[in-house]
Amino acid sequence: MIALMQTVIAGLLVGGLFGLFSSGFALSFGITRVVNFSHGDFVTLGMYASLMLLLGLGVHPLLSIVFVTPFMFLLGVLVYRLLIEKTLKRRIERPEDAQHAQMVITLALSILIENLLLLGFGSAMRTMNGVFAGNVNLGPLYANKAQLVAFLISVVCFGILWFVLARTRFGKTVRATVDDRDMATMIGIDSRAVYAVSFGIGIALAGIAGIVLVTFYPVAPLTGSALIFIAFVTVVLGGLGNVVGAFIGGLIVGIVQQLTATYVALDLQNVGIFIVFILILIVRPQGLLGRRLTA
Amino acid sequence: MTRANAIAALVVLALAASLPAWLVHSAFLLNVALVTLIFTAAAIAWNIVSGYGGQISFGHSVFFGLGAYSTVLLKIDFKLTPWVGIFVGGLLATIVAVGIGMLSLRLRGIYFALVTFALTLIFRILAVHFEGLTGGDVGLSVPLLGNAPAQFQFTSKIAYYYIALAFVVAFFAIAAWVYYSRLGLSLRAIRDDENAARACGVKAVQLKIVSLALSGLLTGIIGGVYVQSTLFIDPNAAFGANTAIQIALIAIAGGMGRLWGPLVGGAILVPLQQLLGALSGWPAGLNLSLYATVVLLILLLDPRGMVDLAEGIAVSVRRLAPRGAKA
Repeated sequence: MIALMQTVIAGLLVGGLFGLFSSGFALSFGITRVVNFSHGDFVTLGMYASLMLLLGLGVHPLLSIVFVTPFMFLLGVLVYRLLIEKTLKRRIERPEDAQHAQMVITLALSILIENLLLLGFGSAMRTMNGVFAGNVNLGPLYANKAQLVAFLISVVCFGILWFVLARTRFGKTVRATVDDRDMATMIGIDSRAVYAVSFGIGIALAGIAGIVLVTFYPVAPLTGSALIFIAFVTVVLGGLGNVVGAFIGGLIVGIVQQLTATYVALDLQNVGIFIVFILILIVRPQGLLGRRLTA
Repeated sequence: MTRANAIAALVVLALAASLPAWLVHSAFLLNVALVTLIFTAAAIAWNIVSGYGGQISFGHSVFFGLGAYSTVLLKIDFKLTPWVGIFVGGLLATIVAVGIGMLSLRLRGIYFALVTFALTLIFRILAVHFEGLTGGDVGLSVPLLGNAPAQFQFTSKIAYYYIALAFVVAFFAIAAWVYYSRLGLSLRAIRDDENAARACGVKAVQLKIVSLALSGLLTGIIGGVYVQSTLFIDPNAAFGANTAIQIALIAIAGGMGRLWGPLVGGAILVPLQQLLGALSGWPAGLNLSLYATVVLLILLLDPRGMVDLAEGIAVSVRRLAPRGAKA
């Protein structure tokens, strides 16, 4: 029983980060309809940024969040403006037409980022040691300190995201754009800006998740391709485009992954996630929380 | 239109068949040409379900890998000649394709893309895990038999080149037949407006599954041909995301849903990638960075791909010419 509880706690803590970068994916998908295959690679970028800042300048990862996040946001806006927006200019009768080109553009971007990282840092796996070492005891159970910090940061960041979407004027314009983009444009919302900014926020969330993830998870140029798989399952679990659902989905995916790793086989941990994925598609394809963006 | 296509196809075929005579002289170039043909064939198969039908698959490596592994395992465990094995592998891929289709094609939109992409990862993990069957990470080698045409093994790569070319021709003929058939028309109708297609009596879900099954069959067969030409397969080459992306990239960058798209994409992108990959002395990662940049540039110039890009250029040239003459 203790072992089971321990596994669930580990899954929950990791799941917080899954939830964080998946909610970024869900946000940009919900608004721009872009399936961003390179989302996981922006997590990798965050991981390398955090690692390099610590090794090179001695910047603590928690401080890196403050420095790196604005850059990730700008990078996201830039990617949207330079690469993705182009696809919308032709054949805009149906968003699906542009969506296919966008998928390949983000795939090519993913290959590009992975290989630029390979070029810059080599293929070796790198780890960050010494930050948040040790465990925190919780009665008979314990939690890895780095994972606990990561979980808390995820919850805080997600809380801020939720607050912005649910309670601010900007959040209102975003939700209006999701509900009906033509109507939103008609009442004076600059949907072009909303698209770019939400894409930027999605990338920024991926970056934050990466900065924290690297404190307990090794990084290599191809790390992102495993993470994008988790983001896919998570957003389908939570309901495509549903930010809150994506966060909850992340927690579930984390727990399922740890349970499979502990009780079935370590190398099959992602197969467990995939079975959940298939079950959701059969039983409840709209996801646990339906289709709406926020509460 | 069809007559022009037939003439163009014959010209391209003559060009491809004579290639070893005037361009492809080294063993390296021959291998590049062979890989080009195999991935072009896979992209033609991909185009049937994803291009005509609009159901984007990022998991065709699943069928490719199933074909490859079946062919090798049937040979090793049951002494079955690969000439039969590749078709058995194709059938297995078809069965899996129908399963995937029944799960994910009743849903519209991007679910299919997400499921197929996730599947590549799962098949790779499974192929690594069940090493008793698949040899795990190490992979499987086809038993070497020297020059054994009855066992689909040849000492010269030229034989493989012409066999792969025959498969490309066959696949292109099937794809062209589908394109102009009632099935192709229905598929394009589903792609353009599924509701309208259903209202006209098109059985959308069934036809999407049929097109995926056909696509899976062809991809499985060419996977078997691939493994006979390399005589080796491992989980990464078979089921890796790179293989899946490669197949889809060729067809999309060439011209998704266009009859000629996969051929144009394959003829340009695969040699580019192979030649970049062969440049020794470059730091790891640079070649694929360049490759990805080229793909990005193509799609930025025209998101619909190279066939439309070329047509657009041809139109503007025609428009410019008379104006230039008047001035």
